[in-house]
Amino acid sequence: MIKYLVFLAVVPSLLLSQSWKRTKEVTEPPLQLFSSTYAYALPTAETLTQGDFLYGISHRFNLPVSSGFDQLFGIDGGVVNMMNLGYGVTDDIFVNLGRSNLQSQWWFETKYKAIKIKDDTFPLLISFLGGVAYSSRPVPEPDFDRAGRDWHFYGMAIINTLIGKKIGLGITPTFSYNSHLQCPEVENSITLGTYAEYYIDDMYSILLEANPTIAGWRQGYNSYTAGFVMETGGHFFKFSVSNNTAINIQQFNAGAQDAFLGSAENNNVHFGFQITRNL
Amino acid sequence: MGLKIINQNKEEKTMKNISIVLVLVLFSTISLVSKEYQVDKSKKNVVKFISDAPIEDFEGVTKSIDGYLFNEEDELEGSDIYFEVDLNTVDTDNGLRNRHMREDYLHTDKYPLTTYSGKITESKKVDDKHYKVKAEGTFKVHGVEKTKKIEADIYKYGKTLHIKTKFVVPLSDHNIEIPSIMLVKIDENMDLRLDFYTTEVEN
Repeated sequence: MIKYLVFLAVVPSLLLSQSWKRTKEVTEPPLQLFSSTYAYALPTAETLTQGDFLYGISHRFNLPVSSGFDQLFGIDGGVVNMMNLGYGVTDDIFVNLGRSNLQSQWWFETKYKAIKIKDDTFPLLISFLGGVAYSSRPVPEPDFDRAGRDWHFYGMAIINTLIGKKIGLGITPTFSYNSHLQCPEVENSITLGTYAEYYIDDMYSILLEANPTIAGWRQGYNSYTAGFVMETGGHFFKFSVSNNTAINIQQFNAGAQDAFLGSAENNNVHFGFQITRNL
Repeated sequence: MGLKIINQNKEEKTMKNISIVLVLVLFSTISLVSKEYQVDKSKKNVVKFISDAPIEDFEGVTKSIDGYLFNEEDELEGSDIYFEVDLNTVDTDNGLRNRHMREDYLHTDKYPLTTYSGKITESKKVDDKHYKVKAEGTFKVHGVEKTKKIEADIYKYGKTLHIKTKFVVPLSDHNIEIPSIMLVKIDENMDLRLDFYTTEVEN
């Protein structure tokens, strides 16, 4: 008897409640390990969100820091200047067109974010990048027939991880075809770029980059760059010193003209800064 | 003794039958008067988070709203309401800014939803289709709940309710750090504007 009364009491109250239930889990945001699409010269595995643009302008000063205060540590001298415009074709495909005043080089790259592994301790992003560069007005003009030598090609894998949400690490094994226009014959290079970015807070980070040549042709020295990054309002401001004045991947991969440390007669680094804006 | 058991069983059976009939009657009566409206995801729902900043204003937009409006007497006044927005879907038209919003300010890995639950306390009929309502409830974002009174316009088209509301969210009330753009802090008050549709469902 009692159970029927309970039944009578409970059922109406059940009928008087709503039936809505969440039918969809909350959306998982995309895996992003680095903030920027580039370290300094080397790319990260990041791409832009579909439809976003990126504009960048980069300088590296020709005169070394060792030129002293008279030359404002190199800032009074000429610069290697590069501009680039990137676009997110999809969330995973990024295209980037650039121009450097060094050899008047045009370049175009496509980056594809291929592998994304979410993990609390060892997340992983792997992208692949292919690029082509065209040296339109080499200086000095090579003293050999450069027909067909103006074109350069390169491909790389970009492997990124983020440790403890504080230290981003990247490796960029790269093959470059026709590494340097001034070589009498076509020379190729294999480099193993690495970089580490320590995020001090959500605005400032310290960034180190190394690009040793592990096989093939190299101009002078392996490249090293160190500096810091300030990120605010969609802008990245990157201040650095480097022994390589080239900024775009093709020219940067050919090696540095100066030693970074340890060479008494040729121990020069150059100031550089880069500004990129995500639009 | 045996007769007593038989009588008891008969009595229980009769009670059971009466209960079922009563429940059916109640069910049909309640079904006739109570109504539940759920967010209609096939419609053009828009939720906007708008912020004033000295250099540039920005707007976060999503259509990922869900929830219900439930009343027992087919009256807006007294209706229970619950709505939630998936913050991971808010798009500021800039992927980098989306990421900062999620990771540095709203911490959506811990608090992916913003919710409002409460009751419509007042309803005034403006015309055949248009009602102005007031609601009291709890607004929750970034894991912090605050009591909030909001006003809304509800337009009734058959089995569809078109709901429009806007209110201000002081970020500091919810322990949200004030974001800065180019080193300049944005306005600490964020406007929240909702324009969405609910459709009556069969219970």
